[in-house]
Amino acid sequence: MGTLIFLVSLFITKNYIGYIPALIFLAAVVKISKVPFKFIVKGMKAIVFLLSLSVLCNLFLTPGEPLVSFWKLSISREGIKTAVFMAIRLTFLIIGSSIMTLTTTPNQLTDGLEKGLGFMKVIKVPVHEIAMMMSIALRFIPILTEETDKIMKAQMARGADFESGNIIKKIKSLIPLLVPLFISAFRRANDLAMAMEARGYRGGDGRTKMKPLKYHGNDAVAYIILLLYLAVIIALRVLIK
Amino acid sequence: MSIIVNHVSYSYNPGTSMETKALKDINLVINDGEFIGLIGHTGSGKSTLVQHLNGLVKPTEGEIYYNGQDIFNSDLTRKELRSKVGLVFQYPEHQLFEADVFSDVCFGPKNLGLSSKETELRAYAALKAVGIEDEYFYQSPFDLSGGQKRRVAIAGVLAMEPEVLVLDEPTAGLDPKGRDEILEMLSDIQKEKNCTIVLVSHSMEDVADYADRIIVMNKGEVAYNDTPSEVFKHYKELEKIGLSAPEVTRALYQLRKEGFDVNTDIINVQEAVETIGKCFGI
Repeated sequence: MGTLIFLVSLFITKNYIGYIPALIFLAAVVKISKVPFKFIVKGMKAIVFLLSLSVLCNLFLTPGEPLVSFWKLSISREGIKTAVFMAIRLTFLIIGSSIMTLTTTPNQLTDGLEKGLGFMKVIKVPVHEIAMMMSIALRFIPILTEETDKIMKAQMARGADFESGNIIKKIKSLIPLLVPLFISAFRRANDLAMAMEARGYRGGDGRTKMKPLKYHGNDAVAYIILLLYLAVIIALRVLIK
Repeated sequence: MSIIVNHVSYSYNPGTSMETKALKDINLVINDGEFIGLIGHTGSGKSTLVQHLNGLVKPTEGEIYYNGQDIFNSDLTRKELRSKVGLVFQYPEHQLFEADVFSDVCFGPKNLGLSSKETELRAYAALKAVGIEDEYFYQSPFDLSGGQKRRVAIAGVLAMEPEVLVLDEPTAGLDPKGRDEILEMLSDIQKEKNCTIVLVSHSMEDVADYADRIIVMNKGEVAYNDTPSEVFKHYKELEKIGLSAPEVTRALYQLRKEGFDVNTDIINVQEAVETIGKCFGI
């Protein structure tokens, strides 16, 4: 939830000054989380392409007084401004959300989701079931990756070729990979459903947890800090035009 | 005409903190026409090793030669190699995908670029070799029983007519009857086509009757590499690495310890029964 608020706050800010508290906040969170800085930088590498693309788009496509222009392209003062602005925003977004995924286990994540959306139970939204589905989906990602790798190798051993050829040929060559993958995914889902049924699973009502979420003093402090941070951001937005 | 594995090492995730050495300096020679049992505990590196044999995995160090050609550094194309060294994976029935049995078996030879007539002939021969009757040819492979599915999957590799057939735990999850049928079938195929077979397993009983030579792997290294009866002499050491010699061997050694004069090299159940019978004057 904290992450969500942080992300929203990034969109609230409209100028550079607004990023100062965001930067302080983020730096503090990184420090507290004890995630090695190298790890975070590594995570950034994946989005360098996206980042540079958005920077370039903003740089060239923002209308305004041209500073440098060649051929049909021109760079305006406003363009540079938005580009830098967007780059900072994106970087903060990614770091913020990767901090969350690096520090929170999928179980905690779904527990939190269940609790955070608990109020929706009143309007008959099956919150527990949605959270359960999410945690199962997350749990299945590594299994399916492994399965894909295995089937790919097996088909390669039978002479399948996944690399060469034009795009139609490439898509066709995926059939021997996708069909067994889907079948095994369905089989696994079936087995899991059966196993859950066999152990008497019947949804969220009256269900207890092995590790219930408990609030400690720390959590209260975290909430207060978060609210303060939000207040500062909103204040900055309102006060500085 | 053989496979030579020369000082091969392989690590998963090299250069990271999660680096694990799956194979450490493996040296092996697999001769033509041999029936080899490759045995090891779970995680001993046997599956990783067999994936090297047809170039699915590239060794971190060392080379592999097929008929004198380095498989990663020569004119030998990957496709050619894979048609010569057929690899049947664990639970091969999970790779079936076509709408009917026959076209699934055709997949392998078709990838080799053979004519459709040749492809169909090979598929037919392969299905016959694994004992699938004509009536099943145009059924969906998903309607077959577990044992039949596995045989169809093995036929899919056989249809490529490999000179070396590598099978990774072909008997896993089958009942004793299905297991015996598969092993018997492999032995027949070997005699008929005179090809080399490498059978991966964690059960000594599986390979004892059929293998000419047994290679025992432990923690990424070759622990033993000898004829079955020689390897089984180390039955005490085998137990330490989580494997057990066939029950027959253990029974005979126990008898010898008790003072009976028995031939402990016997691995065939029938012969063992006779020997033990003699001991007790039956």
